[in-house]
Amino acid sequence: MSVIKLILREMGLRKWNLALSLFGLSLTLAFIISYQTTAEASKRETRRIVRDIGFNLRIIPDSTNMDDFWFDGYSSETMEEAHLKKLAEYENVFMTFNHLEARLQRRFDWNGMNVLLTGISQTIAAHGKKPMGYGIDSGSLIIGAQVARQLELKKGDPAQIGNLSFKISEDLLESGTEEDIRVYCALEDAQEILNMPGKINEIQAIDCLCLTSDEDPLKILRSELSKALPGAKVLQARAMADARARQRQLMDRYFGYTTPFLIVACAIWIGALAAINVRERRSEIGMLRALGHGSGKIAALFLGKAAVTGLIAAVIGFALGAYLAMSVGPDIFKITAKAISPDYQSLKWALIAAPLFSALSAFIPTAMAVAQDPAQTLREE
Amino acid sequence: MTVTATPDSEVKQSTEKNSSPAYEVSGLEKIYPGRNGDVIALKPLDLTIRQGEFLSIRGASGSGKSTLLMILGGMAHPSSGQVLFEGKDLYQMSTGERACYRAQSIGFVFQMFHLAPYLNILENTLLAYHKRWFCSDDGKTPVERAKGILTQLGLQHRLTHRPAALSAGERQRAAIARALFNRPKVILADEPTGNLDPDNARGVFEALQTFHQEGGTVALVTHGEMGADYATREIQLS
Repeated sequence: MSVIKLILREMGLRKWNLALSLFGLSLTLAFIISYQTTAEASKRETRRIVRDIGFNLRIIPDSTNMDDFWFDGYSSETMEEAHLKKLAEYENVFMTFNHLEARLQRRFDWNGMNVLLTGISQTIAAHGKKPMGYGIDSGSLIIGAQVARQLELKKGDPAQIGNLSFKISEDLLESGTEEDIRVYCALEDAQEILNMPGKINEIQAIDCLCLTSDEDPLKILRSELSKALPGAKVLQARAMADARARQRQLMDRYFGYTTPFLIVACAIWIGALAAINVRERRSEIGMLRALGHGSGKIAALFLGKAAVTGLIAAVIGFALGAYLAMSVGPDIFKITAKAISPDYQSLKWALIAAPLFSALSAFIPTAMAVAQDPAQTLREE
Repeated sequence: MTVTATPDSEVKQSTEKNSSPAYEVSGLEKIYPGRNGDVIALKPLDLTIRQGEFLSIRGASGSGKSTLLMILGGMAHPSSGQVLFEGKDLYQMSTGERACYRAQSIGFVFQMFHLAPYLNILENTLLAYHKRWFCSDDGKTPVERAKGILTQLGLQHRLTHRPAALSAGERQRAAIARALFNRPKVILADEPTGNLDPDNARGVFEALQTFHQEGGTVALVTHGEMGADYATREIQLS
C-alpha cells in the first residue's frame, strides 16, 4: 500500500488533528499572503503619499548666497542643464539620489502679478521606478491657486507669457504655501521666457537612504554629490525626508515584527500536533516495524502527512489571504483600492514553501517516531 | 544463573527433535537499567526452537516471555547472549537486515491486535506486503492472496470493514491474516487469546495449528491452559 494512500486514509480518520493543523498553517499563510497582496497597493500608496510630501533634496550651485537663497526661496546662481544628465549618469547615483528633476525658477511679472515662474524638466528615475512630480509638456502651464484667482484663469484657458503661448493644463488647489503663486511650465519654455538657454538653478531629488537614527544621511549625500557633481551642494529638507522614511518603513516594520512571531508560533503548533499524532500512533509504528518496514517509511508517513497538510493549507491560506486582502485592503489603502488583486505568484510560493515548512515543523516528532522502541510500545499497548 | 530449557522446565516434549533448529539461543539475558537499580526482564536462558515446532512459552508475569518473543523477532537487543536464526546471528545483522528478516521470515500476533484503525481488514492485511520480497509462485496478486487468507479465516464478508466494526475475535483473525500474508517461517504470538472468549480463542489456536501443520514454526506466549493442547512442546520461564 503506497505511503500517500496511507497518509490520506489516516488523515481521513483523525480529522481533528488535520483540522487543527490546517487551521494554524492556513491562518499564518493567510496573513502573509494578504500582506503580500496588499503590499503592492501599499507601495503605490506610499509613492502617492511621498509624492505629496514632495522632493526632499535640493541641489544648488555651490556659489549660492544662502542668505538670499532662504530669503528668495531659490538660488540666484545658475548651473548648466547638462548637470542633470551628468548626475543621472553618475555610477550608482540611484543608490543615494532618486527622481532627479531640474528646475529654473525666478520671480517674474506676469500681467501685473509677481509670480514664481518655475520651469521643470522631465523627471529621471531609477530603472523600474515611476517618475514622480508634475511632468509638464512644452506649451502647458500649471498655475497656483492665487495666480488662478488673481488673473482669473482656470484649467483649459489659453495664456501668454512673453512671446510664448500656453494652455493651462491644471489650476492647483490652494496649498497655503508659495505654491499658490507658482506658475509651472516646461524647463525649455522657462529658459526661453527668462532668456537663460541651457541654464537651471536647482536639481530636486529624493534621497534613497532610510537610515537609522545614528547615521547621518546628509554626510553620505554630500560625499556622493561631491564626486558626481563638483560645484554643487545639497540641502536636505529633514522633516520631509523623515516623513518619507517613516512612511516607507511603516509596513515593513509591522510585517517584520509580526511575521517571525507568527511563523514560530505556527511551527510550534504544527510540531505539537505532529507530536500528538505520533503519540496516538505508537502501536501502529511498532506494528509497522514488526512487519519489517524501515525508518524511511515511518518518517515518510509523518513528514508526508505534514507536507500534504502544508499543500492543502497553501490553497486554503491563499484563498483566505486573497479574500482578506480584497475585502479589508480597499478600506486601508483607499487611494489605490482598485489596484488590489490576488497575487498568484504568492500561490506558487505558498505551494512550495508551506509543505516544506510544515514538514520541517514536524521533523522532531518524526524523529521521535523513528527512534521509539517498538518492542516496548507493542508490549505496553 | 542460567535457566536452560532443560527437561526440568520442559513441560511437554518436542516431537520435532530431528528437524534442524530455527532458533538457537544461548546465554540470552535482557536487563533494563533504571534509576533505582537494574530491572531484569529476562534471566539468562539457553533455548533451541526447531523448525516446524509449536512451542508454548509459559511463566508468571514478569518472567520475560514477551521479552523473549521480541528478542526472537529482532525487535529488542538482548543485554547479553546470542540468538541464531537458521545459523545467522540476529544481532550481528544491521537494522535494515533485521527488518528484512522480519518482513520475510516472521509473522507477529499480539494480544492487542495492533490493526491500523483507518484501514479496512483487507488493507490491514496488505500492510505486510513488501513489493521487493513478494513471491507470487501461485500466480496470485497481493490482493488475491490477502483475500484468500482472510477467506480461510472466515472473514470474507468483512474485507471492507474497519477494525472498529469487528468483534475482538474477528480482529485477532485479521491480525493473524496479516501475520500469515508474507508466508513466514515463524509466527511469534504474544498472548494472542488474552482478550478473547474461549470460542474465539479456540479459533485462533486452530489457525496457528493449521500454520504449524503446514510446516511453520510457532512460538506462543500464553497464560492459559488451552494453548498447551495445540503446542508440541511447552517451556516454563521462571
